[in-house]
Amino acid sequence: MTLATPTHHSGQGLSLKRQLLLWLLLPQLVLFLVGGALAYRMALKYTEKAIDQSLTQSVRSLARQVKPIGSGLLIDFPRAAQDIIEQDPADRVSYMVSSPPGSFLLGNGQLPAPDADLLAPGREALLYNATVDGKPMRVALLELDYGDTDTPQRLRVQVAKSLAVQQRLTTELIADMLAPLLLLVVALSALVYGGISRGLQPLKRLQAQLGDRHEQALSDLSPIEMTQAPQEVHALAAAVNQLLSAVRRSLGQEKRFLNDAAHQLRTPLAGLISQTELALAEHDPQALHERLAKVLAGARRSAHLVHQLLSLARNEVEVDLEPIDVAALAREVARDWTPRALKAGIDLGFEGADHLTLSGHASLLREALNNLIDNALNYAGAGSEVTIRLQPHDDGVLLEVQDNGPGLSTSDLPHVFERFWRASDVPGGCGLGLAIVAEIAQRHGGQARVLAAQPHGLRVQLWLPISHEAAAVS
Amino acid sequence: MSSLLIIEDDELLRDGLCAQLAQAGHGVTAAADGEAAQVLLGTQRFDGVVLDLGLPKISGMELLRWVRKRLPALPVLILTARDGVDDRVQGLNAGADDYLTKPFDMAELQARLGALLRRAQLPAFGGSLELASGHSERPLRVDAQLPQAWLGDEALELTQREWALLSLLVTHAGRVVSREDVLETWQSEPGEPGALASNALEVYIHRLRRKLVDSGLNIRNVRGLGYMLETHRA
Repeated sequence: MTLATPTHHSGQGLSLKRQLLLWLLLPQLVLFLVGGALAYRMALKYTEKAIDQSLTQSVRSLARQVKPIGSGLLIDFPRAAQDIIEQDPADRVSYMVSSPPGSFLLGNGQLPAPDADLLAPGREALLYNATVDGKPMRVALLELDYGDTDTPQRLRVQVAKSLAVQQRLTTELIADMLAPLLLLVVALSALVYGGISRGLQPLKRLQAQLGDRHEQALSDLSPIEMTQAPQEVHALAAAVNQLLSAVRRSLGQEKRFLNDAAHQLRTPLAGLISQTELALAEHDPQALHERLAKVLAGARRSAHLVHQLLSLARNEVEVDLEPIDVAALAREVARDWTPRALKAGIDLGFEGADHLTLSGHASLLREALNNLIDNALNYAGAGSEVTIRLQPHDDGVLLEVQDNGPGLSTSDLPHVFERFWRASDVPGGCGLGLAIVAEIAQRHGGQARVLAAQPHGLRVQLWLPISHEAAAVS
Repeated sequence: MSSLLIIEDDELLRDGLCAQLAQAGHGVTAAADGEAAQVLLGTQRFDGVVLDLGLPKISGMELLRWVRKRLPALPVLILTARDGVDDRVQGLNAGADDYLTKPFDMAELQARLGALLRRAQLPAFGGSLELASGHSERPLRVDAQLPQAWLGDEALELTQREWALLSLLVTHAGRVVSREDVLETWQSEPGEPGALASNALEVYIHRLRRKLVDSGLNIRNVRGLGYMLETHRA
C-alpha cells in the first residue's frame, strides 16, 4: 500500500529557525558593513587631517628658515632639520624651495605646482594632491613675498608626503577597529543561533511526539506530554490535545455506531438468507407464500436501513444553506405522502402559513419531514389523524408533526433521538429516523424535541432559525 | 394497455420490474444497456420509458439526452441509486419527467408511471382516458382533444373552469392537487376573467362532486393540502 506522504518543502515557507536566523543575523551584517564603511571614511578623514597638520607645520618651519636679505635669500637649513624632515626613508618627505615660484632653489626633488586658480598668497598653507613620479602625494605650499618695494619677489616653499602613508594609516585604523567588531558579530551570531536552536527545542519535541504516530496507529490519539515547555508551545500543545480528545470522542462514537450499524445490517440479511432457504425447500404453496412475505418484509427493512444509514452519513458532510420556502416544501412532502396515508387509513393534513422562508437545505429538510411523517404513519395506526403544522416562532420556524396515536410513555420520551433506540417492535423501523431528524435540525442551527400530545399521541417539534448565522450569534 | 421500455442493467431488478409491470397490464420490453435501448427506441413505438441512470457503456444521462432529442414527448421516469439532490436535479434538467430512488416501492413506481402516462395522453396526444372506481357501471371518460367528458355514454355539461379543474384532477388522479395549482390553471385559461371569490374553489369542487356522483369517483379534500381524485375507494 502506498500512502502519499506530505513533503516538507512543497508550498511551505522557510523553516522557523531559518526565518529567525535570517531576521536576526541580516541586520547584524548590515550594521557591521555600514559601521565598517563609516569607520573607513572617518579613518580617512582623520589621517588626512593628521598628515595635513604635519605638512603645514613642516612647510612653515621650512619657510621660517628662509630669510630674505636685501633682494637675496639666506637659507639656513641645518643638517638636523633636514634629518627630521627626511627621517623615515620609507615615508620620504620631499621639499622644494623655489623663487620665483617654480624655479628650483633648494630641495630634494621637483614638486609640481597646484592648479593656478588655487594659488592665493597669504599666511595660510595651501594643501593639494599631486602626482610625483607616478605616485600620489599630498603637498603643502606656502608663498611669501620678500625683497624691497622696487623689486618685489616671491618665494614658494613646498613640502610633500606620499599618500601611501595615509593608506597605511587608514588600513591600520580600520583593522584595529573592525577586527574586534567582526569578532563581536561572530560571537553574537553564534549566541543567536544557539538561542534559537534552544528556543525551538520544544517545537521539535512536539513534532517528534506527533510524528512518531504512524499511519498504522491512527488510533493513537493519546494526549501529547509537554512539561517544561514555554508558554506559547504549551498553549499549542493544549490546543492539539483538546482537538485530539475531541477526535478520540467522536471516533469512539463512530466506532460504536458502526458496530451497531453492522449488527443492524447483518441481522436482517441473515434473516433474509434463512427465510429464502426455507422458501426454496417449501412445497406447500400456502407456507411458501408466507415465507416469501417474510422475505419481502426483511428486504424492505434492509432497504430502509441502508437508506437511513446513508442519509446519516450524508448528514456529516458540510452543507450549504440557502433561502427556501419551508412551507411550500412541507406541503409538497405532505402531498407526496397523502396516497400512502389514505391507504393506511390515516387522515394526513397540513395546518399553518402559506409561505415561510428560512435558510436551509431543501433535501435535508425533506428527509427530516419524510422521517417524521413515516414515523407518525407507522406508529399512529389506522383511523388516526396526523397533522403537520408550521408556524413562525422566536426568530425561527416551528415545524411540528403530531399524531393522535397511542404515543410513548414518559420514560421513553428522552430516548427517542438516540441512534438505534426503538420504542416498539412495529416492523420496518430501524431506530434511526428521529436521530436523523435531530441531526438535520442541528445542521440548521435548530433543535428537535418531542412531547406527549393531549389526550394521547406524539408531537415531534423542530425549531429552525430563520438564518443559521443569527442562531450562531445568540 | 400501454407499451413500456425498461432499461436496467441489473438482471434481478430488470426481471422483477418486467414481471410486475406486465402483471399490472402493461406491455413490457426490456433492454440491459443503452445501445440495445437505442436500437429498440429506433424501431418500436413506446408509451413510456423507465430508465436506470447507472448504465454500462452509454450512461443513463447520455441516453436521456439522446431520447429527448428524438422523442421530446415520450414520458421518461428515471431510477437512480444515488439520492443526492444534484443527481435528481440533473436528471430532471436533462428531460426526465419523474424520478425514483432505489430501492423503491413497486406501488409507488406504478402510481408515478400511471400519472406520467395519463399526463402524456391528455393534453399532448389527445386520445381519451377512462377512469373508473371499480364497481361503477358508468366510468368517467375524458377526451382532451374535443374537449369533452362523459359519464358512461352521457356527455357531461361542464363550464370552462369546471373542465380545467376536472382535467387537472384526472391528470393527477391518485395524487394531491394544491389550491395554487388549480388557481394557476384557471388564470392561464382564456375567457372567464375577473376576480375569484375566496371560496370559489370549494364551490366548483362541490359542483364537480355532484356531477361525478354516478361515477363512483370521489374528490377528496386533503386537510390543508388540496384535493385528490380517488381512483380506489379506501
